[in-house]
Amino acid sequence: MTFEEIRERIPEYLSGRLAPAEKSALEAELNASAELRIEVEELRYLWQEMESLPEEQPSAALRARFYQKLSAAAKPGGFAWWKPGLRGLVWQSALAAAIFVLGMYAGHLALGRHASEQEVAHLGTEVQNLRQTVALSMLGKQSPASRLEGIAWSSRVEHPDSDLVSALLNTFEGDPNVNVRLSALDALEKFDGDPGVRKALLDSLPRQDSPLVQIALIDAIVHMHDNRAARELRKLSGNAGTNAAVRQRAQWGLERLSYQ
Amino acid sequence: MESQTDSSLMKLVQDGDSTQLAILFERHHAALFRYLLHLTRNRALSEDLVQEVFFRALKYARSYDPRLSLSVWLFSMARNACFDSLNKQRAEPPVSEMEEIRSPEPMPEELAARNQDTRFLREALQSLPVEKREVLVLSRFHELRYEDIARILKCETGAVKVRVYRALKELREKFCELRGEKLYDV
Repeated sequence: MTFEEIRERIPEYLSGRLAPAEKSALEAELNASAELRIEVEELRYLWQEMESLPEEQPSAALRARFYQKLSAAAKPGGFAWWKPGLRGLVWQSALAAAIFVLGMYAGHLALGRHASEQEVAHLGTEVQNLRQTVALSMLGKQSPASRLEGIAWSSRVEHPDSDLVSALLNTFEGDPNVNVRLSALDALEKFDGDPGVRKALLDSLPRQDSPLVQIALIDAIVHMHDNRAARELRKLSGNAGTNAAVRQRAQWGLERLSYQ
Repeated sequence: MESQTDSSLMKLVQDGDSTQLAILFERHHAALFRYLLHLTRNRALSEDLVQEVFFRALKYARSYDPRLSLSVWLFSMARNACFDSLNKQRAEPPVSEMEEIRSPEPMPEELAARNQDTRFLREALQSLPVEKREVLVLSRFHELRYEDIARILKCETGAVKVRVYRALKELREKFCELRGEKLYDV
């Protein structure tokens, strides 16, 4: 075995997957080579540190969307509804189809020799507008699953206008369903550079009553690095009537803001 | 009650009981999401792709061979769906434009335990080329065997071995750069 071949086995050695004979061979080289020892120790440190990287979690909206689509697919003839995800809403399905057709046409033009840049840009704008229309429509629906769908559609709009941002803020502020409020907050976090959104989220903190939403909002506010939140966080952390986990999170938020 | 294996649930899906896909979704969607997030560096797109994977699992259920690991089958479909999507977008987003892969912020006691190295490591990992990021993620985070990774990547097991080592080595270089350290010349 060449020196290079031995080195290629380091990841397996670090993960404990080397066969005994290969492990012995590598350890014999380790004893003989200081260079290899240093490399293994440096890579071992990284390998172990990777374990400490936090596990990312999908949003609650993913589960809601999946079950909505699975439920539709499980019904006779329902499979075809999986893709569009707008079951029972004929005009919205038509919109989705229109978006698809426009998208295809835009792609066709983009590849074609005769298309002008303006045409492609125009169609791209049309697709975005239609997505926004679907998102706004879905956000106004009675069913929480539809509103979650609306939030998901909003995330596909590249540059949402103020109507859509306002609709997301209203959903976050007043939706009776906690999962919908959490998803709306998730969607709003990408607008944390917008002073209006920042202010609305800050103002919302004392009005939110669900501990889950309060904790998620504290996280969002701290992530925005906005020191104006300190007053509200102090109130929350000092209020004996506040949920203990929320108080603890508010305290944590205050500490984080003071470090920034 | 004994939990059913992935293969037995998939057999039910193959026989037309699509509701069994829900159990498989619960078992695998978070891992697929994390894998896709490392590839795309985009949360919304990764969630869309997870949906697409389960859509394909339902559509192509009959092509699943129960002798093989369902995870490997799902990861393969996730990979195909991801690269279909990235190819449509023509290119992976440059690091400067990508979303920061951000996790729920830690509680105070966890915060104390975190150190700067974790941040550097995350940045170094995100800055690796997608093919190197992918083998490291599959090998380290999903703890897949090289044989399984080779099935997903459609390459030889020996090639996976070399790729994982090279990816880890490049990760170390980037990590050291971020730390402002000089690498030991090996």
